[in-house]
Amino acid sequence: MKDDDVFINCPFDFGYRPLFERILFTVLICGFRPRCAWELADGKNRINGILDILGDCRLSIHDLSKSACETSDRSCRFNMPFELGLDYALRAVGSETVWRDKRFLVMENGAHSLRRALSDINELDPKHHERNFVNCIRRVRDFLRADVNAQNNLPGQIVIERNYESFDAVLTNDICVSMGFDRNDIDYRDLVTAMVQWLRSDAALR
Amino acid sequence: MVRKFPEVKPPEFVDFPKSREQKVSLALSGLEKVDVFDVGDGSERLFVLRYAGDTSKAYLRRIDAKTGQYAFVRPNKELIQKVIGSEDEDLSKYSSGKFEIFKDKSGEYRFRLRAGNGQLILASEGYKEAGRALRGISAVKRNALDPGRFEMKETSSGGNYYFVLKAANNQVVGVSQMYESRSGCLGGIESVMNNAPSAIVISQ
Repeated sequence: MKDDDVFINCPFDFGYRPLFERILFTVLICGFRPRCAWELADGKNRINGILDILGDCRLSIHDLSKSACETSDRSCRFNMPFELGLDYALRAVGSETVWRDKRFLVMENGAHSLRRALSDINELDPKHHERNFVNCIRRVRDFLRADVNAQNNLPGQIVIERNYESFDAVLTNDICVSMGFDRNDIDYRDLVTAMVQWLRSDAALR
Repeated sequence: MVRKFPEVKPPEFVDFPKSREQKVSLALSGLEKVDVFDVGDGSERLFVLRYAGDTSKAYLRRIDAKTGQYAFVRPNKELIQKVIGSEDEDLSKYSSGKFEIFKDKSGEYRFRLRAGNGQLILASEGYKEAGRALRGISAVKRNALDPGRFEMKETSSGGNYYFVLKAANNQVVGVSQMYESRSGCLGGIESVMNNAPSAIVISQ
C-alpha cells in the first residue's frame, strides 16, 4: 500500500467533469498521487482492477453525491457505493494488516441526503458539498490536510480554485489546441499530464 | 517569501509517451503567470496570460446562466483596457502566434511561426525527427526574448533583407521571409519577439 496514493471514486460523465477535475487537481496540488478506475485499460477485468488500485491506496475519496436516490430522475448511480463497499471491506476484513490504516472521505450532495438511501453510512460521517466547486475543493483539501503525510504548505481552497480556473483557461485554449485534444473528451492520462506540467510550471499561482 | 506548493506526484503511467509530455510542457513554456479579473456581474472572467519578454494574451470566459456551461472567446481591446485599467498597456501585444509543425516533401520535419494575423514570420530548417523540431521551437521561444540573437542580413543580389535567429551556440534556429526594406525586416524581428513566447504549437 502506498501512503500518498488517493483513490477517487466518482462519476466520470460529462455533467460531473467539472467536479472530478477539481478533485483531481486538488489531490495533485496537495502533493498526493491521484488514482481512479479511469486509469484501467479497456478490456481488463474492471472489478479486479479496481480492487488492485484500492489495495494500493491508503486514502480514498468517495463522492456519492450522484449515487443516492436523492432525486426522482434516473441519474442515480450505484458504482460509487459499490466501490465504497469494496474499500470498506478491505479495511475491515482485508488480508493485509496495513489496510486497517485506510482513511475515507465520503461526500454527499446535501447535508444528510444519503441518510435515507444508505443509512449505514452515517458511521463514516459524510461531508456535503452541494455541488459547489469551492465547497468540494475545501472538503478534499481538509481531508488531505488532516492526514499524517500532509505537508504544512497546502494551499487554501480559494487559491486552488483560482489556480484550477487559470489552468482550465490555458488547457482549453492553448494545450488542447496544440495537442489536438477535444476539451470535452480529453483522455485521463492527457488531463493528468497537463495538470502535472501546469503545476510544475512558473504559471501556477504560488 | 515565495510559498511553494508541495511537490507534485504524478501517477505512474506505464508506456506513456514522453513526447506528449514534452509537447504539453512546450505549450506552457514562457508562461510566467495568469492574471484573473472578474468582469461585470461576475458571469464573465478575463484571463490575461503573461509571458516572458513582456508579451501577453487574453481569454474571456462567459458562463451561460441557464446551463452553467461556459465558453472562451477572444476579448476586444476596449474590454481589456477597461478591465485592466491601464492606458499604457500595449494592446497590440494581445495577439497570439502559432508554430506549425509539418512534414515536407522530403519527409523531414519543419516548423514555421505565424503571427496572430496569419503572416508567416519565421521558418526552420528540416529535422529528421519530430522531437528535434519540438526542441527547435523551444529554442526559438527562448531566444526570441533576446534582441541580440537576431541577425539582419541583405541578400547577395542586394535590395532584399531577411533575418536569422540564432541560439546561444550560434546555430541558426529560424530564418525569416524576404523584406523589401530594412524597416520591414526590423518589424519582422519585433513580430517574432512579440509572438514567439506565447505562440501555441500545432502539428499538421
